[in-house]
Amino acid sequence: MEKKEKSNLRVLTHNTYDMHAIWDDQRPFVKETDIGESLGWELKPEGLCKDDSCIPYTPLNDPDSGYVDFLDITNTLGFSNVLDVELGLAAVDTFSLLRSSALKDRKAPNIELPDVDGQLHSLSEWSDKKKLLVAFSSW
Amino acid sequence: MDENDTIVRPNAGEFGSDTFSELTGISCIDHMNQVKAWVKEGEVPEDASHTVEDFNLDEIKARLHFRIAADTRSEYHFQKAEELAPLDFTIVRASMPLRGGNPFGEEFFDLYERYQNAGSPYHGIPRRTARLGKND
Repeated sequence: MEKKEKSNLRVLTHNTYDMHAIWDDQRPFVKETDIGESLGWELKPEGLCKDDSCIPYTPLNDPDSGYVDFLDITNTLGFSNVLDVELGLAAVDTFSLLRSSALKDRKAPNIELPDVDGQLHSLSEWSDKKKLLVAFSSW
Repeated sequence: MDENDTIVRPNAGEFGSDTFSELTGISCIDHMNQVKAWVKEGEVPEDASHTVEDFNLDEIKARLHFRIAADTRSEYHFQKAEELAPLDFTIVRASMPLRGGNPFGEEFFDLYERYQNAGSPYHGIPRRTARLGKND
């Protein structure tokens, strides 16, 4: 098993993101410019923002450092996480809002999945048609 | 999902062929007929209104531990995931080949027996449980 350098944090969501991190008391602080790619929400003066939505957020640490407390960000967004300090890994449930909304409203999110050739396709490509989604595993 | 992306019928465990009917005791024909009736006539089965509950915190944490385990093969995270969601096929059965086990072997049948005894819990439309045991 490969151990991660303490200067890095690997973030596992539906993808894998490696980012530079500074660790303080077993908490990773990452560049605020790296938040957007891994979590889908960007840190702006008005807070954590995605599209037209913003959640007020005040960094706990020095805002001029350019680094933010990764766990505090995920907690503010309501994303559950599991952190492994020794491995330098954080798994984050970034789909919680999407999932609860789809279950409640029964509106399919515009998911994007690769075909057998790796070409990405969005559900919206068939937005005017009936769709049957089949998920299976070969185990 | 219909033409407006509304989820007409939530997820359910179904079979697309009868390849494993002898094992599962389930034929694909009922579901295939349901799909045909919906596509051609717009008919939906009664169970389509079923509300699927979201994961609880233990189930979410289990998936996050499994996510780390799948990436690192960490036995600690495999164990944590299984402790938090002991009857979840997505985690427990999917872990078997990653931990050197056999997803069609004794440990799978043990899992299936525990799953059946617990009432076949599933985040989707419930269905009758197939008769499946170690001696079948």
